[in-house]
Order: sequence, then structure tokens, then C-alpha cells
Amino acid sequence: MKEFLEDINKAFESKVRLGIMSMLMVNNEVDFNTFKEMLGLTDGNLASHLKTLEGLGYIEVKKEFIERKPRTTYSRTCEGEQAFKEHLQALEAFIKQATD
Amino acid sequence: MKNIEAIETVKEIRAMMEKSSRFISFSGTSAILIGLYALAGSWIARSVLTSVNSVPDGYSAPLWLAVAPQLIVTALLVFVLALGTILFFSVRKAKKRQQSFFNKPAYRTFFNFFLPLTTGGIFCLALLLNGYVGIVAPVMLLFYGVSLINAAKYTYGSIFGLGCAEIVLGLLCAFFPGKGLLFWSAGFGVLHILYGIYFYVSIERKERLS
Repeated sequence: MKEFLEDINKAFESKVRLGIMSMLMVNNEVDFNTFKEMLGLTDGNLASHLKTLEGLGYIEVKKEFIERKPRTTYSRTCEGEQAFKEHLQALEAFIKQATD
Repeated sequence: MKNIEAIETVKEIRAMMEKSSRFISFSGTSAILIGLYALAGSWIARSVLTSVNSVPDGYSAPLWLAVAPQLIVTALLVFVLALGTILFFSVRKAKKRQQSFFNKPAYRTFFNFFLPLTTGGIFCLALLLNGYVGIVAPVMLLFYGVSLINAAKYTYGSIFGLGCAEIVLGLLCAFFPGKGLLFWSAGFGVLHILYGIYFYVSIERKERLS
């Protein structure tokens, strides 16, 4: 039982970070406001979670100007994708051995 | 971590993936209303057509052309009403969930729906102009079915089933000339009402509970 838990990624213990990663797994790019809308968070709270994921190298930030308005979009990195998949596998394995 | 917690987490991941990649601001009520508009439309069309048929034979072709504008206006009215209803209910549902209506999934869904539908619409226009009136009803059903199937990848998957049903009706319709209006009202009227009820009972009620 213990080895399953080791693979469960601490970065994804937060529901917000898990949500961010889930959205980035199915969308190539997601902008700040969409995250805000979907996850229902304040700017500051969301920004700090995004910073954490960025610090881990799981997501990439792109800043651009569209019609003079700044827009920040995020995308997953290969590392992030790998980490998320491993996290999911660990969860699945955990569920499986618990129901057996 | 407990087992239930892990299952909950997996469910949340799945929900977030669905929510962020699919268009889910669709309401069953609008499907039922669209079905009713279509039935009303075909009833109008039927009364227009019977007024033509009561005239002695031999004149039916030119007379058909005389009522064609009335039929086309009815069809367009049904279409505009249907589109307006869909948009109204979808915007309302999105607002209730505090999501903006026109997000990327919505754009993708509508684009992929209207691409085959517009093709079919223009094709139907060409058929009408060339006088192939009898084949218009099955072509409309077929293209509508294809549009639904194409959009199903970006919204509720159950729309795929509705699309298949429309295609089956369209193909059947093609083999029964003269019964176009009957199949048309079955496909655009009855099927929409049935799907709307199914959607309301099996999907919307669950969404409201969760």
C-alpha cells in the first residue's frame, strides 16, 4: 500500500492545481480568465497556484498583447504531462488495490 | 488517503476535463420547443400544399412554384426561431453556472455544427432552384444528422444518437417520394421533442442534483 502513495504527487494534492492541470491536459492553451471562471478563484489565489506549477516546470507561461490588452496563456510542458499521468496512474492503482 | 477520496479526485479530474473542453450549456427545454416549432411549421406547410393539390392535375408544377416562397419563408422562420431559442436557453444556462457563454468549446461546437449544415442549406437551395423538390426533405434530414454527429465530439455525446436517428429517417425518406413532409415533421418535430425529454430526464436533472 505504501508504494502506491509514494507516486501520488504532492503538487497535485491541492484541488486547484489538480484542476489547472486537468484543464491543460485537454486544452493546448488556457488563459488566466478562463481558469478564473472555471475554478471560481480570486486573482491572487489563482496566480499563486499557477506560480507553483510554473516553478515545478509543469506549465509554461506566455504573455502577449491582443488589441493592446495583456493576455496571459498557459500550456502544459512535457514534464507536467508526465507528472500528471503518473499521478493518475497512482490514483488508479490505489483505487484498484483498495477495491480488490 | 482513503479510497473514496481517490475516487472523488478522479471524478473531479474528469469533470474538469469535460467542463473545460466541451460545450455544456445546452438545455433540453430548447430541444422540445424546437420540435414544437417544426411541427407547427410542417402543419402550415401541409395546409399550403393541400391548397395546391385541390386544383385539377396538370397545373401542379407551376402552382407548386407559386407557393414555394410561402414554404421557404415558413422554413426560414422555423430555423430562425429555433436558433434564437437555442441561443437564449444556452446563454441563460451559462449565466446560471457563472460561465461565459461564448467560450472556446462553444465556438468549436457551433463551428463544427454549422459547417456541414450550411453546406446542406446551400445544396438544398440548388436543388430547389433546379426543381428537384421531392429530394429536399431527405437531404435536409441527412445534412442535419451529419451536422449533429460532427458537433457531438465537442458537446454532449448523446447528440450523436440524435444525429444517427436523423440520418436513418433521411435515408428512409429518400425511398418514399411524396412523403417528405411526414418524415420532415418526424425528424425535426417528434425526434427533437423525444430527445429534449430524454435530455431533461437523464442529464439535466442529474446536473441539478449534483
